[in-house]
Amino acid sequence: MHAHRSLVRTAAATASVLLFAAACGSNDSDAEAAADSKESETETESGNSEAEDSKDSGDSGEATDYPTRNITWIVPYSPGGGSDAQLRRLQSHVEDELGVTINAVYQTGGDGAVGWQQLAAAEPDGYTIGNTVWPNIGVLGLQTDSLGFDITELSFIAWTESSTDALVVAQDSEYETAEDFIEAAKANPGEVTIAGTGRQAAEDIEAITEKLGIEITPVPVSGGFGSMLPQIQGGHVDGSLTSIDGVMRNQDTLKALATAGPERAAALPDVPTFQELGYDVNVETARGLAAPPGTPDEILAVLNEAVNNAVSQVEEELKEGGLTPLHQTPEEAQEYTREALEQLAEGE
Amino acid sequence: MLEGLAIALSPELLIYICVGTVTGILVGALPGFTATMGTALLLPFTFVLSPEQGLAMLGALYVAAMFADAVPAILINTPGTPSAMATALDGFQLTKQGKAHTALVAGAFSALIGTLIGGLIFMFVAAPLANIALTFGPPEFFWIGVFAITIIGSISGRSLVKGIAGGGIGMLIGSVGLSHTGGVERYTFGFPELLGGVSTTAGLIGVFAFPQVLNMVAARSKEKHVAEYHPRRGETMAAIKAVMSKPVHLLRSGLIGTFVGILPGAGGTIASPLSYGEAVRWSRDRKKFGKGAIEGVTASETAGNGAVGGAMVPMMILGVPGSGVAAVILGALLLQGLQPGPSLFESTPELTYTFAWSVIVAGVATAIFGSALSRGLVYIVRMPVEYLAPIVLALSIIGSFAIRNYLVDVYFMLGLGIFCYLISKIGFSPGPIGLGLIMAPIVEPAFVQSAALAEATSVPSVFFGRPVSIALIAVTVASIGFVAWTRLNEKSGDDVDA
Repeated sequence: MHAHRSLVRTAAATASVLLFAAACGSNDSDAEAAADSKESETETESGNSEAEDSKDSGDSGEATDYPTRNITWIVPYSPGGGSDAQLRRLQSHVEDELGVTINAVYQTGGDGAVGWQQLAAAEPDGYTIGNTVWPNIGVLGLQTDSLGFDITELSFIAWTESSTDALVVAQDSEYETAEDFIEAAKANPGEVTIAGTGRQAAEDIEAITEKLGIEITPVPVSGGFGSMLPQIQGGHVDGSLTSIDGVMRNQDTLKALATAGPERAAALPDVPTFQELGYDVNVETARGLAAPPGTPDEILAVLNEAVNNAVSQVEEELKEGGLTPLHQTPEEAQEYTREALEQLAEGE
Repeated sequence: MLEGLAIALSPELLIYICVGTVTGILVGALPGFTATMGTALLLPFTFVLSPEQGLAMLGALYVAAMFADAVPAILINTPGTPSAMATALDGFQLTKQGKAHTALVAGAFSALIGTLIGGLIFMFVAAPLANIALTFGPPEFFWIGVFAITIIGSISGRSLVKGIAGGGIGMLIGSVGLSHTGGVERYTFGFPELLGGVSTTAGLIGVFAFPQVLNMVAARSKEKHVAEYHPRRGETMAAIKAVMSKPVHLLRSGLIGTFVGILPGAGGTIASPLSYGEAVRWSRDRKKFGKGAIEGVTASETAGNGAVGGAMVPMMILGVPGSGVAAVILGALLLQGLQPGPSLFESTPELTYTFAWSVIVAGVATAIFGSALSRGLVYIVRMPVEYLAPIVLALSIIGSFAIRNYLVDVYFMLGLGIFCYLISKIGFSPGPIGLGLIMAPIVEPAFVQSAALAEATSVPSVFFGRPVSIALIAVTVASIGFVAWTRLNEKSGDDVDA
C-alpha cells in the first residue's frame, strides 16, 4: 500500500544512515573534506614510498608502511583557542614530515572530556591523535569514574610546549605591581576578584592565593581565555590568573604583574616571579599530543619524530608567545604525565 | 576609508569574497554545519593569502552563512544554524502558504541590508562602540539573557503557560553535562558520554527538524508535499519591494543585530530572536506573527547579518572575539603575525576598513547568489513527502553528527525530536523550547559569575546597581508588562466577541 511504503522507506533510510554514521564515526571525519584538497592525497598502491620518504628509516628493522592515509587530529576545544593555536602551529610541519594530510576535528564539551573520550575510544592504529592539555586532562583524570577511562593509559606522543600562569590585570588597572595587588587583597579580604577558566578554576586560584596569604573571591569563567578577556579589559574583575600566552597575544590591553614559574618567562623579562617576591608558587601548564591506548611503539616513534621536528621548526614562534618548547620521547611523555598526575592528586 | 572599497572591489579580493560566499551558503544551508565550522575549514587556506584576502574570504563566509541558514528554516522548518531559529517561525508558515520563494528572496535581501548596516556602523562608530561593549559584564549579560527569555511571551502562541514551560524544558536540556562554571555534573546519570552536554545545534535540529519529519510521515495520506508553490512573474521584485517598504523596521532590526553582535559571546544567535521580539512589540498587527508575517523573516535575518558587522567591532578594535566565528578569524590574523587590538587599529586602519568593505560587498554577493539559488531550491517544497521526509531525516542525522563527530549528539537529537513531536500534540510549540536551549549557556554562566562578584561586594550593587544593568532591567520589566497587557487585552477582546 502506498502509505505503508513511505513508512518502510523512512525506516530503511534511518537504519542505513545510522549504520553509515556509526561506521564512519570512529575514523576520519568526512566533514573535513575541504582540508583534503589542500595537499594532494599521497595514497599509492604500494604504500611503501611514504615510509622511505619519512626521516624514520627503519630504526626497529621493521619496514612500517605507516602512514599511508590521512590522520585525524582531535581538538578537544573550540577553534580559536590555545589548543587550536597549537594545532595550527604544528600542522603543516607534521604534514610535511609524514607526507599525509592531517584533518582537524573539533570535539568540544565537558572541558575536554568529549574530545579525550573519543581519542581513548579510537582505533590505536596511528590514524587518530589528539591535543593534550595540562592540567585540564589531569583534572579529568582524577575522576576516572565519570570520565570513563584512565588517562595514564593513553599513548602519549610527546608534550610539546610548556608555560606557566601569570597574574594579569588590565593595562589601565590601578595595580602597578604584584605587591599592590596583594596588599589591596589583604586590606579588603574577599573583595578583590580574580577570574579563572576551567573545571577547577576556583580551586586553582585558591591554591595560589593561599600561598600569597590573601583571601579573594574567585570568578569562574567558561569558554576559555577569549571569554575572560573582556571581563579583565572592562574592569569587571580585578585580575586573572591565567596562562602567559594569553597575555602575549594581548599586550595592548593587558599586563602581567607576576609569573608563577621557577624563573622569569623569556617573553616577559621585566616581570618578576612570585618566587622572587617571596611566595612559593610554582605552576606549570603544558600542551602535547597523544594517541589512543595501545598504539604500537613503532607508530609512536614515527609520530614522535615528526612532532619533535615540527616543534624545532616553530621554536621562535613559541618563545615569542611565552611558551617553552619541549622535546620528549614517548617514554618521557608518559613519565611526565604520571608524575604530574601524582602531584595533582596530592594537592587535592 | 574609500580606498578600502576600491581594494575590496579589486579582482584579487573579489575572487576570495566569492569563494567565501559560496562556501558560506553551502555551510549555512546544511543543518548541522555551523559558520564556525566553515570558517575553521577555510582557515588553512588563509596561510598563503594576504591578510586582506584572508579576512575577505572568511568574512564573506560569515555573511553568507548568516543568510543561508534561513533556507532550510524557511523550506523545511529547520534552522541551518541556531541564528535562524526565529526565521523558521514565520518563514515556514509562509512556505505553507505557497510563498516560499518570496520568503527566501526577502531573507536574502534583508540579509544584505543587515550586512550594510553592520558594516557601516563598524566603519564609522567602531571605537566608541567597542568601549561600550566593555561595559557589559556578567550582570549585564544576565539581564540581557533574562530580557531575551521574555520574548517567549511573544512566541508562545495560544498558551503562555506552555510557552514558559517549554522555555524551562529547553533550559533544562541545555544544562545537561558539565556545568559551565565549576565542574558540577548535571543530568549525566553516570554516563561519561553525557559530560559534554548536548550541542545547541543538534538540540535545535531535534526541536525543529525531526518533529517535522514525523509530521510529514503522519500526515502523508492527506498532505502529499510540504507546500504548494507556483512561480509567479515579478515575485522577486514584489518580495524586494515588500522588504524595502518597511525602512524603520529594517533599521531597528539591523541596529539590534549590530549592537548585540558587539557584545562578546552574544552574536547572531541572540540577536535574531531579540529582533523578532521587538518586531512583534512594535508592530501594529501583532497577531500576524507566527502565522506567516514577512516581517518575522526580515526581522530575524536583518539582525543576524547585522551581528556580523557587530562581531567585528570588538575583534578588530580590542582583540576580543564577538562570536565563535570571530574567534576563528582572530586566530587567522594571529597566524599572519598580526595582533588585532588598539595598536593594530591605530597603525594600519586600512586593514580594518578594507575588511569592512569586503563584508559589505559579500552582502551584495550573498543577496545575488542567494536569490538566484532560491529560484531552484524552492521546488524542494513540491517534492513528494515520501522522498522529502527521508532526505530531511538523513540531513538531520548527518547534521547532528557533523557538529562534533559525536554519535551521542545524534541520539540526543532523535530522543529530543520524538519528545518534542509528542508534546506538540498537546500544544507546545518549538520556538520557546529552542529559545530556552539557546539561552541556557548564556544566562547561567552570567548568573554564576555575577553571584561570585556579588560575594565580593554585595548583591544589590552587582545585580541592581550598575547603570547599564538598570537600563536592561527597565527594558525587561517593560517587556513583561507588554506581554501581560497584550494577553489581557486579547482575553477581554475574546469575551466581547463571545
